[in-house]
Amino acid sequence: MIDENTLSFISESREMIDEVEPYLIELGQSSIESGEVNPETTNLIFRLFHSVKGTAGFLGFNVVVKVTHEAETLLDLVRNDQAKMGHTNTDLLCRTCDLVGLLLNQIETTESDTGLEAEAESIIKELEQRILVGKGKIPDTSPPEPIDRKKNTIQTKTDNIQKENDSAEQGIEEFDLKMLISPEMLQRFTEESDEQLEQVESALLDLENDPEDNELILEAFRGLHSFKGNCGFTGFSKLEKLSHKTETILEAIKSGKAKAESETIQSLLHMVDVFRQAIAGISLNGTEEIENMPLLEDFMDDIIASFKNADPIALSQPIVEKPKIEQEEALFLLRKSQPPPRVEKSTLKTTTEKKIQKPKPPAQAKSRSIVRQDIRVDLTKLDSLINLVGELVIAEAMVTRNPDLKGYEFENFERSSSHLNKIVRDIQDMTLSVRMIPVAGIFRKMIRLVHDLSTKAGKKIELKLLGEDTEIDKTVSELIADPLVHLVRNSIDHGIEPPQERTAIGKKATGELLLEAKHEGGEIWIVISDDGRGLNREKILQKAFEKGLIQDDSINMSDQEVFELIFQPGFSTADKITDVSGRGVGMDVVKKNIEKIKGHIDIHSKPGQGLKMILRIPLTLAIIDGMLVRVGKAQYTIPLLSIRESIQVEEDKITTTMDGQELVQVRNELIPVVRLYELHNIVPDSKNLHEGLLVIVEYRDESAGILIDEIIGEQQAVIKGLSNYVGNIQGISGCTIMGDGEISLILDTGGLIKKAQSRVAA
Amino acid sequence: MQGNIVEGEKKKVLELATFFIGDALCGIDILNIQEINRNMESTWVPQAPDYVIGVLNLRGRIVTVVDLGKKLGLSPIQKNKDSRNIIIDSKDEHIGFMVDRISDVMLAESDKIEPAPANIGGLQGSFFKGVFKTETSLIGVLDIEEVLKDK
Repeated sequence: MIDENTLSFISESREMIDEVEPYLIELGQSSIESGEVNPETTNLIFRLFHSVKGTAGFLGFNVVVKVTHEAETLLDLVRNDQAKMGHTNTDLLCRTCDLVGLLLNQIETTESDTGLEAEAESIIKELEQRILVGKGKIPDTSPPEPIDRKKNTIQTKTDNIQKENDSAEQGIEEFDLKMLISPEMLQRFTEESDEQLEQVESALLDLENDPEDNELILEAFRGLHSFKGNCGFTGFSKLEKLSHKTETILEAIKSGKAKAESETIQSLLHMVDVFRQAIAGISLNGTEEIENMPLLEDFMDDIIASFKNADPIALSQPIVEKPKIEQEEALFLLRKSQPPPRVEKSTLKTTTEKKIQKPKPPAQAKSRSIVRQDIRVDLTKLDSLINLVGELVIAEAMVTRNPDLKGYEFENFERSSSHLNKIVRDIQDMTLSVRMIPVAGIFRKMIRLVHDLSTKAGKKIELKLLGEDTEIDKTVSELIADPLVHLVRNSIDHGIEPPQERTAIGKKATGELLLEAKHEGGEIWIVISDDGRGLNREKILQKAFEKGLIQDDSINMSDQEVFELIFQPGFSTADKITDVSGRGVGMDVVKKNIEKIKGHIDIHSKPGQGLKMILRIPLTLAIIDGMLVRVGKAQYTIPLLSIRESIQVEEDKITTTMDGQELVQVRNELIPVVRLYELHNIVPDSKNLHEGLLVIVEYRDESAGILIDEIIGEQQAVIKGLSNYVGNIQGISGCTIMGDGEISLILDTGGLIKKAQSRVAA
Repeated sequence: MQGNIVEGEKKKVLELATFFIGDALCGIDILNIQEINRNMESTWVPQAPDYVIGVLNLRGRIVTVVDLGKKLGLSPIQKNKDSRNIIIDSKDEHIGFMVDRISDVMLAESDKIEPAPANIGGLQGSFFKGVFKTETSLIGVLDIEEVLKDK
């Protein structure tokens, strides 16, 4: 079993790597374009690598430490303008990220980061080389011996942490860590810190009872270390400094240089309180305020110094000389009251901070002013909640439309049931929104992809992202991530031309790739468009014919139909297979995944001008508003969104084409008629058009009229899939359970319209 | 039937719920069975394969009901007072097997289950994981995955 710390290390590091990549590319680009690097971005990347390194070192993943350390060194050179962030370096650092990703996978499966030494070694070599290049360029900076660095990296893990701590502190002092911190980041920071401090506190309290328990020290250390890392990352330097000192104390205890005496633990607990107070302040007004900062610092230094005296093997902290009185005052303040710690915790605050005068009540929860804005919920719990809501919708319909109520009028019942209906709807909306996440996550991944692929293909491409904050269902997001990769690959590999070719035909040398997410009607659209070659109709037809996908190179096929051919498995117009695309697998995957979420793909292509693919995904997967209709004995649900109107047809408005397709004139439009009973072999009440009702449905600017016998009513339908064993049924997209417990099939209006329209066209 | 189930199942002993399709006695590991009920009214699905009787609502879950007789290539199951619907817990969904008649639950030691012959009571051998002989009868142990495979 992998322990929790490793797991959280893996997931945190993954997030960080994901975060680093876009910045790396941004940095590389700005460096190439203007020759300058944004120090803030560099610092940000530096810190992210640094955090990974720190935790990895602590957990003993030395390969990760080595790799990230070298990357850090290189970045350090970039930061100091000693190295340029050119293509080579950007690329190298990106590959470093990949490697770390691989190592993380390795850790996840085997709990150790060994097994990829060869890869790691080669990356490290490259990094070292680049570092040497960077240093060689500017001789007047005093370059630390490369051997030295090498030695550093293979020291024991405690040393790594120690060294890391030092450099962290250095980093704070040397660089102004002002960066843009969004309110969300801040909120996340305060929430995480709250958790971490809680972890530290509980570990410390347990430690007091059981001073020999190494695991508890480690636990406290880990919590504090993450906290410190977060403080550094968010730029709260005072907190970082203090937590670093606190960490040093713990470090001493950990390495056995000091005893976990209850006095020491009390001091540590006080520090936790100070941190908590500061975090509360941050969550309230966003600023870092620590009262008596110098006093606290001195106090910590004093404790550290006392260890140092006890043990000649020096810790890195210098002894800080300070007035005796002050020191005693601090100690007095801290020792003033003794355990129980819960009550005692507040003494530091009450005596040193005049702002808070009231004594803390023993109930700790109230004293903390951090209000959590989120909780983490297991996805399976969420899914079963959503399922239950689905059942609730059905159950509600079963009650309010109970067959027993037929023929009665209950005024009060009606009122209550409409109230119930409203609440159920609200619950449903709320529950579904819980699963929604912004597309930014998958969009941002494309930045790296575009960078890598365009470099590889020797093309210049500018990627634009629009509507990143559009929210989509988590499942949908997982399912469109892969298709998106394929589509972007295709655009780069096949669509966008090399720069020479582009300039030759009068286009900008830099190709444009646009990713956009937006709401459109009842759907979410993910648009991928480029200004490249577009699809070549002739070539597609020719290839399709060669592969036997079509009978002859039929001229009659519409553009849309021709373009759909590219989704056939094994289809590829690429003349040669590259490692990027050309095997004809990708588009098949795209289609499969999109179909899984009941989506459609629209293709718009203008030869020579570009290709635009629109992934159209229904907003909710689970519940739709539907109209219940009856044909003979069968009951169908038609999605309300696709219904335009329902009409009764007059006989003189009906015309029949040569091959028997009926058309109904509605205002100035001729609409084909779908006779469901023919398609599904049902005996209807009436086969005469003018005796039944015609429901006009619309999809993608096309429409058709579905002949039904009767409209039963409107109902929310919880969509349930039909079993695979039933197979794909024409005109049916799923089924739902009605109020009386019967099952009603949901009509696939898009499919029906397509069928009807194709018969008109034929 | 409930009374026949032995509590505290031992290792390597299968409990087989047995039933008749035509004249063939078949069994399914009882752990795969969600429940057995009388014929419930199912909703007919147009254009579905002929062995699909329809779908039914089992307490909010959609169950596809399959005529096991037709699926295995015999004559269709006759709906009467003996026929039953065995609800199977398959991968992600519930499938209902319509059978002619149900029989007892039998204990079968898994090492006594022999490979299936090519033909059991007119049924293709490949539908079975094996056969189990009792003193009086021969039970074909159905391979549910194989039965549900698309032909």
